[in-house]
Amino acid sequence: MSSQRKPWLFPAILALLTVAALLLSVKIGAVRMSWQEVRAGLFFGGQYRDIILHLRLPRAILAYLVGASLALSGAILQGYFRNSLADPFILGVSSGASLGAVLSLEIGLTWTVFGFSSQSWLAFLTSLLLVATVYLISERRRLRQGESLLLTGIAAGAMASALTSFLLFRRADAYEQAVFWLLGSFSLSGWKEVWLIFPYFLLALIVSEYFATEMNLLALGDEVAQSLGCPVRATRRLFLFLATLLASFSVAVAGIIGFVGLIVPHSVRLIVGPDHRPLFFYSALTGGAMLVWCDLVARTAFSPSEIPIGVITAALGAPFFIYLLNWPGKKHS
Amino acid sequence: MILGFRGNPRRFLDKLYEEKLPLQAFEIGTTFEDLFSLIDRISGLTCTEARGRELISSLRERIKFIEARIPRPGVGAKVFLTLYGQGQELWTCGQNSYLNYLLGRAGLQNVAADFKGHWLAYNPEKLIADNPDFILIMARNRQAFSQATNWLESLTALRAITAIKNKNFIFLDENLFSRFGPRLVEAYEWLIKAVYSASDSEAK
Repeated sequence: MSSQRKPWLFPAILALLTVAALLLSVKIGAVRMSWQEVRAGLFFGGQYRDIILHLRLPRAILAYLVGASLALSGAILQGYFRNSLADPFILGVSSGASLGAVLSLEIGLTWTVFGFSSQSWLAFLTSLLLVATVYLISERRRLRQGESLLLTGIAAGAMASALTSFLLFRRADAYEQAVFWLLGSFSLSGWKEVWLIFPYFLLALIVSEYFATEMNLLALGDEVAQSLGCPVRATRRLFLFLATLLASFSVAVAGIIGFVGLIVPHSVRLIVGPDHRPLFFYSALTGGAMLVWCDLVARTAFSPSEIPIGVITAALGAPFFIYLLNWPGKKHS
Repeated sequence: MILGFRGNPRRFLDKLYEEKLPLQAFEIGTTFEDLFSLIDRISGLTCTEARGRELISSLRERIKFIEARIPRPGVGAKVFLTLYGQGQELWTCGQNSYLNYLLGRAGLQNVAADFKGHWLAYNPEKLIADNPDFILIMARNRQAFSQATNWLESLTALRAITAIKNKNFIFLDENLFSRFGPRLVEAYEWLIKAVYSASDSEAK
């Protein structure tokens, strides 16, 4: 594999792509400006200060953090279930969040708390509630708990989706209102969203890196991991908690953005291998870079109108993922 | 008789046609003339032509009376109309909407008038560059309107926009403005009264 022959290559490309994405995100937008104006806006005030410092910069950073959170959550859950088809929303986070957001529209809630809309709050709370319920139900089953959790999550997710569809059916006008949220968006995101997600993302990255060796043991099977001294139940709970909160925070600040949490960890695994220590780290960095690029396309392709970012992640991510899966000479982990 | 509109799901209308039910489907228009023609067609179908003509005539009179309030030539204030309660998006009316027609007819300059479509999620950067004098907020009631103004004022990025700096927010009743029918004339009256009295008080 190329990463084994040239271990610097992947980090170097990733760093280059990340820096380029962040710089272009600050430079390009509905309002055209030169590099000099960007520099002036960033450091000396200038005509475009508000656009650069309060729109483009926090938006780019937030896109990075959300992408990194979703990719890390996906990497954790793929390890947890030992299934590379797992993604951050597999346990019903997205369905629970959609239900909360649409419920908020249905009831007509328009309040804001700490600058966050009722839609964001309800989405966050219902997603957590749904996953907690799924966990409590499946915990009653001692044997093959992972399988039970997965299946309960899928069933609960389907139930929440059905309720969401019912609510949208009852109020057809709510569909337009909900669509941007259901497909994700960073429009009008500011520093408060960045400060909400950043500490938790950092904590989750550090904790998951610290316990990555335990995740490697879990990949061998619960019995083997137990016999090698890994506290299986506690480790599983910890990782499930980390992954769910990462996904819920992401959904609360940016809506539902699919595909990142599925394809990024999978792609990174093809490059760095199955060891969760580099896998967690590089998945987060790659997810961040990917979402900044996608957001750049989402807000500039049809400017001044914006495309929901979920459309871009799927449109760009799916062909790339298919290519990776059929990459000549690739090794499955 | 069943009256259908293009906004209804097509498959429902097709089904009604298949069942040979007496369905008449109409296009939603964009101008007052489209509205009058719609009233004319519906009154013809319901054998109430005289009442239809009466309604059209009274609406025409009303429009003439309302337009006498518009300063000539048009003030041309730049406005941004937005629909509150749409999440973190600035939904506004584009070129093909009847709301854009109402704004133009009222002598106002819709900042999103160059963009095709009925509704679009407007880019906040573009809004900063457009710098509208007024922000018209379609909300379901005064309380929602006040939440909308609070929300807009809380967005640091938009603080330099003239409308936000001067708190030039205008409430548009969602019930009046969101349906294409005779009440559109009432909506027009509301718009003109609100904008021009706000302009007058600002000038003083």
